[in-house]
Amino acid sequence: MDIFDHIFFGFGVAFQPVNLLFCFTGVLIGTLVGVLPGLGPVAAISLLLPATFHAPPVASIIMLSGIYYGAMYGGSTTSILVNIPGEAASVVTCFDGYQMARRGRAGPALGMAAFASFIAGTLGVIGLAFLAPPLAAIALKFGPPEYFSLMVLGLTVLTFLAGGSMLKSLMMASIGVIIGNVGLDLITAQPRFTFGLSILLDGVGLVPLVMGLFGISEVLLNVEQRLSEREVFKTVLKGLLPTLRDWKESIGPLLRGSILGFFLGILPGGGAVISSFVSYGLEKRLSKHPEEFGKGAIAGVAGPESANNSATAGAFIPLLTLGLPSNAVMAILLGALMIYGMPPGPKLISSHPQLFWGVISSMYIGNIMLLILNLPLIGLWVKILKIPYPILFPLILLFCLIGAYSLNNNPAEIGLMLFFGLLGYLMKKFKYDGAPLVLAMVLGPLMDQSLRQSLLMSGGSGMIFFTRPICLVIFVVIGLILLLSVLPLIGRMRKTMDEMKEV
Amino acid sequence: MNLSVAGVNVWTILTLNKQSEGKEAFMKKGFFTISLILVVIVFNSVEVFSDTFPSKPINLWVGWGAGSGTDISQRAITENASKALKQPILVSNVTGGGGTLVLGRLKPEKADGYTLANTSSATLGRIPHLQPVPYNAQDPLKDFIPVMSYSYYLYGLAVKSDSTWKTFEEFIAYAKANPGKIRYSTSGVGTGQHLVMEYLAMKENIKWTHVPFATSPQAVAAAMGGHVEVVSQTPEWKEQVDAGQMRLLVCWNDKRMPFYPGVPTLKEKGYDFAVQALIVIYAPANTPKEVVATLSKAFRQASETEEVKQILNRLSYPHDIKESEELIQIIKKDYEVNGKLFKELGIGIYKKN
Repeated sequence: MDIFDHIFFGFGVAFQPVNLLFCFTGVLIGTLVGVLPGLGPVAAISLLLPATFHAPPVASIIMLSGIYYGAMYGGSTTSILVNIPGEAASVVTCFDGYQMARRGRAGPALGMAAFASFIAGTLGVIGLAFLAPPLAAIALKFGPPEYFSLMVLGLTVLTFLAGGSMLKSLMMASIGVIIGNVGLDLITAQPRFTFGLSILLDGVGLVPLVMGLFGISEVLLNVEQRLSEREVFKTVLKGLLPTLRDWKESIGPLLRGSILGFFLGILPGGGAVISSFVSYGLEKRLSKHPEEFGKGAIAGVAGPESANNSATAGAFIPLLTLGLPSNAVMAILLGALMIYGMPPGPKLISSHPQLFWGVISSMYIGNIMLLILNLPLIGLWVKILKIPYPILFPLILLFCLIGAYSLNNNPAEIGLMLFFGLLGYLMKKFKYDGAPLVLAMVLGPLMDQSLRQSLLMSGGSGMIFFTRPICLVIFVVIGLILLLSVLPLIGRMRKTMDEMKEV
Repeated sequence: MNLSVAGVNVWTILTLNKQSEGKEAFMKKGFFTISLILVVIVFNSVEVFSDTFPSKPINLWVGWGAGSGTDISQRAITENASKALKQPILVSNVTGGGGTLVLGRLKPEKADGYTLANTSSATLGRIPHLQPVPYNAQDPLKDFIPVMSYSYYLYGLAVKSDSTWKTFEEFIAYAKANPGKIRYSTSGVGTGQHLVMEYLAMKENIKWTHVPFATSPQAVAAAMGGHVEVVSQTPEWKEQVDAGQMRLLVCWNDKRMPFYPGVPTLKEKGYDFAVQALIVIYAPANTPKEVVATLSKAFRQASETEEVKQILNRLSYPHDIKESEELIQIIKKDYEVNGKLFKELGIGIYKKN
């Protein structure tokens, strides 16, 4: 197998001292920007890009990639500690991670997030090394109809996500779809739901929305409690690392999440975010204790955290093999590679093997560095929870405000975040769940676009969804899922009917 | 005429002076100003002025995200321009509205040359016909003055290399003979690459279907995957073309692309139409002509170094200098031509509901 030759060659490149140094710098910066809410990998990479123009190109790409997957490690930290997603893909980690922290299990949650990220990151990189070229070809087969069917599958999973009242969840999902469609319509270029406000022409950003909905609202909720009555985190911290039982509950979700994330990461449009949601929904469906989800189930941390990490590895495939970036970070890396005179595309692997294999090998090393870096930090992070609230909350608020502004240097984003903070506060008061809203907001516009693109392609015929093989398979899967959810219901109905007959 | 120019100079010097703080500084600068006024009145010379501008750091906002091609190119040029102007130029990104939001922010700024914006010429020449903009949509040049342009965007029509159409003529002939059979992808309604296809449809009486995508790579991927027959787009197809997996049929720019001299332009094929969008640095309207000239010269010289030229080349941005006056004419003409086309096609703000 000459693939092993390539990988050894890659490690030779990655182990050069300068590349090791750049790799470490990258993952360190990545961890930091992941922890700071609002400041995500996009901002960090684009700010550092000009500084790398005079550095060796391979080392620079190794560093910039390190920032990207490093941010996925760091992103979970604030989700777990203070319910504020460090970046968009860590929203799901809030659901159970924060609940675990409230029960004194911040340590195991952070530990599991780090291990899940490590294992998934490594699996993702292995996938990237072995499967990149064939998967790139398959990715091209995904046109608008295939996307549409995938999005329908995603929304089907959303029904598992719902905790509590199904009616309330559906209401939230509808609002999410509407919010997701704010802005200029792709097909007609007409403004939708903008109320004549130019700040809404570009739509509502996911980051200010989740920061407001989950983080700011949590701050508001806590401010209203009197300091003495505050029950949060009063409990003694129980251990810093996941127990054996935690591992037993997490290993399945972790492996499933890794595979799911890797494949969804290849596709354009928020693969990391979508895969973390889908993983959460899937694990809740498969779990023997679905009622524990949302109340601190460690599987609800392990699954999504592994999914968003392996998605970052998957995202490299279309960039490196086709030269077509699938998200904002990849688009910036594309610009970087062009500047270095190594444009990614079908010819990259043969013309610049030191880059392709060197970067992939550096990702193995980077993942190990991240684990070593993050595990000792857990003790430090957990101490944050001991900071008195009158000091901690203004700080959280400040970081959120800076983070929201730094997204686009636009004060309007701060306004949006505060608006959603208020909305989130009301939602928590009246027991509406934020999760369906966020997922619908991500999936809704993608579904809307791909449906209309598909119908444009077919000249208006809906048959396009049933004549294409990939589409058909996905729709059959959707049918089966729905059937499986309905079957127990039918069984119960038959039972009651029989009982009624006996009576 | 001379007097009015002198007046502007004096006024600018005075306003520049107002910003100095402290009595002592004012006394010193006051004396300096008076002598300068005398010099200006006597010689009324531009050179004197360019000695005083710029006297503090310049802010430059890029209308596209950090790490985008426009951003990278602007930052590369800025490094050199800042050396020439002997003042730092602070680049930051103000994104949104297809590059128009940055102009909305620039509009109320002081017209003194210390605040500039870099965005596409389409923000004035085309987008006002497409969507609401945060500045004068009837006459955008009332709000801004173009300082200079160092490059322009390339556009072309590409098919998969295994497709049957070898030339643009073959493709058009097929499209005319098979109404509704051709589907083309772009990165959005009302973009230059969409308009040219609708222009062709109108001229040649072709019926084809537009499938817009959210990003340029997606539009190219759709053609690569065979979901559409052809893609009309900026050079995101370049890697595929260079690898022999796609074929360029025609170039939409008014002259041939330096990177593909063998690909003909639409004009050569006998159509009086070209897509153009330049990368332009803007200042607020009423910025003194001398300031514009100073800035223009600095940016022009900065863009002519080998290092910058190499960066532009790698980004597929041809190095091409245009000065303020020429840009005004180009944008005016663009605005008219696009306005007519948008109305005829009934899209953008002229869409009938």
